[in-house]
Amino acid sequence: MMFGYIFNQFNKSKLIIISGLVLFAILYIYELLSHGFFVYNYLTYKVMSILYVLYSFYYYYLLLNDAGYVRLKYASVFWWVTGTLFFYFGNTAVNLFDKHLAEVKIFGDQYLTYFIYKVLNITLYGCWSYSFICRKLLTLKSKT
Amino acid sequence: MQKVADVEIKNLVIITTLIFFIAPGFFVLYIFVYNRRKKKHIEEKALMQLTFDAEITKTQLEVQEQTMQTIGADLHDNIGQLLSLTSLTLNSIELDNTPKARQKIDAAIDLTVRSIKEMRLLGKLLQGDQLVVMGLSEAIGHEINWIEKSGQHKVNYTNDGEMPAANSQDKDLILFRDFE
Repeated sequence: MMFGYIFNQFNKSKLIIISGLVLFAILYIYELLSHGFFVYNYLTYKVMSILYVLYSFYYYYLLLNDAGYVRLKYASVFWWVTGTLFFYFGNTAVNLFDKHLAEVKIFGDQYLTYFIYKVLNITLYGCWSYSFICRKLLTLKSKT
Repeated sequence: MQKVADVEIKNLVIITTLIFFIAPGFFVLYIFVYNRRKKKHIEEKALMQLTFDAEITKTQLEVQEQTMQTIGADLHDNIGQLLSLTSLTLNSIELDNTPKARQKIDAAIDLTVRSIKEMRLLGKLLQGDQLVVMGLSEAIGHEINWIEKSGQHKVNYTNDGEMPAANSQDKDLILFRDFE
């Protein structure tokens, strides 16, 4: 939905968003039917991660092609997409080594994935928090 | 043996994660650099437009000034002289001598017609800026008529093909000014 809103600003969204949603729905239903409701849908999650990375790249492509200039430092949408890209791009690496990572531990009993997700989460929520701050500043500015 | 394999896997995972983490960082950096260039380009474009507009205004003022100078000189040197001569001719008419009076009246009429013709040409020059509106070729044609009027030069003007800046009055005006 968020990507749909972002792409709408460039008037080139419907087909890409609908295709992604259809793919997501197909995979979700397939996994649901194959192993039931109580098992995590890993395939859907992996594909969704890749899809978000592709969407993020597509946003950058649209941004580069756009004739207008945007002050990226204060562009809330840009920081939202950047956070998403960092998280899901790093996440893809974890997904690739899913089976091996489940056994790897560092610093005694802590799993390696725990630290990786910690870094990724900090990046994601850091970017998103800054994005919301930019949004708030923009709203305040337009009010005055 | 198992410990070595674990360390290798650990390192591999950490390096891969780092790569996957650094790669988007470079993308973001690239976007920032590109965006800065875009800003610079937009600013340069605006500056060029500003310079171009200033140049156009300057050219228009120069054209107007030159037109005024030509009009002033022509009124003083040419039409003024013709009208003075007409006045003298009319003043020198002797009503008793009808054939001679007829001759002088004819001369005065001729001088008046010439004055009117000169005034018309001057009127066309006064519309110098509007000449460009009619087209660059037309404006150049009028300018050549003005040169030929002196009687000292004979100009053959032919226009083959299209003008370089068709449908752009600003560019036409600059070319016209260069021609002048």
